Amino acid sequence: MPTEANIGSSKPSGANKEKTEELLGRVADREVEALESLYEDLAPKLMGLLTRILSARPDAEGALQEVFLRLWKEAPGIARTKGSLAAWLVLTSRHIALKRLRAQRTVGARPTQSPLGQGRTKEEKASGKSAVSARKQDKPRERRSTKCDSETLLFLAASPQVWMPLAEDIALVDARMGLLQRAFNQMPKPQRHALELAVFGGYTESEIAEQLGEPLGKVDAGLRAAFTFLRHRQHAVLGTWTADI
Amino acid sequence: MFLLGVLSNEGSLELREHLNRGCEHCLERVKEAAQTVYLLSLSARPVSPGPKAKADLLRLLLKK
Repeated sequence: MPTEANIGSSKPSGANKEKTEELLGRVADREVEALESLYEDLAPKLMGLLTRILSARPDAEGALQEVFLRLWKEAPGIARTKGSLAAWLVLTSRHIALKRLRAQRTVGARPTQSPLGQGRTKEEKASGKSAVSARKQDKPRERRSTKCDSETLLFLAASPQVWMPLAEDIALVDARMGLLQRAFNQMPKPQRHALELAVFGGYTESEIAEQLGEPLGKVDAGLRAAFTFLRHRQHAVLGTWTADI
Repeated sequence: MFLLGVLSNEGSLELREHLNRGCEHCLERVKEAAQTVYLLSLSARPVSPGPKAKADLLRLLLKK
């Protein structure tokens, strides 16, 4: 399986490819040392994503532990799909973090945080509020809708074969990650903002519309446009279409 | 948007049922979208977990 240990790196796959395939097989055979090696290789990237979603380090570390415990439990099934372990780990990390985030929102136990994380402006950092929380300061977190699409997340968790991309496709994404990230940065700001609320904030379209004070139709169209933008550039960068970026 | 879990429950239920019927075109599109979600998710800066996090994980695994 390709370059999983090289997750998100701009280096080509090579030796990591075999290494990760072998490690996944050994995890499926119940070798703790193999899981430890995968953890060493992949945990910082996953922890980056988890921290961006959950903010608090202990929460992110708890979610990271849950991801690797699930890998331990589900390794034989993952190996059988022949899909990308890196993609499984990243998307599973996101699902687990969102589940925890929703639970936190339900109890309203944590202070409002910016779903944009490192993207906060100087003014937001100085005031300790995100642009979103500043607009919504009269609405406590626990009173917000928390209907992120749980059924879909459960469906995705139970059916990785439906969505797991091939390992070689993810290897290509990894090899060209720098170019792809640059394309992401070229996205018009309002679309990027809405997309970040969806990816890292775990908000549904209607919640994003509420947060931005915009009509649902406009948010829906913006998110679709953002995905189309990214898909076109992805095809161009990966060489599956011929287009300039 | 389905993969991100941002659709309304009604919209995603329809799509789940459609995927369960095995539409190859849509399954391909979902896999392609998973690449995009992967890419977006990795725009977060890497953070090293603390040593205790790894030790706790290994302790749990060895208990099992």
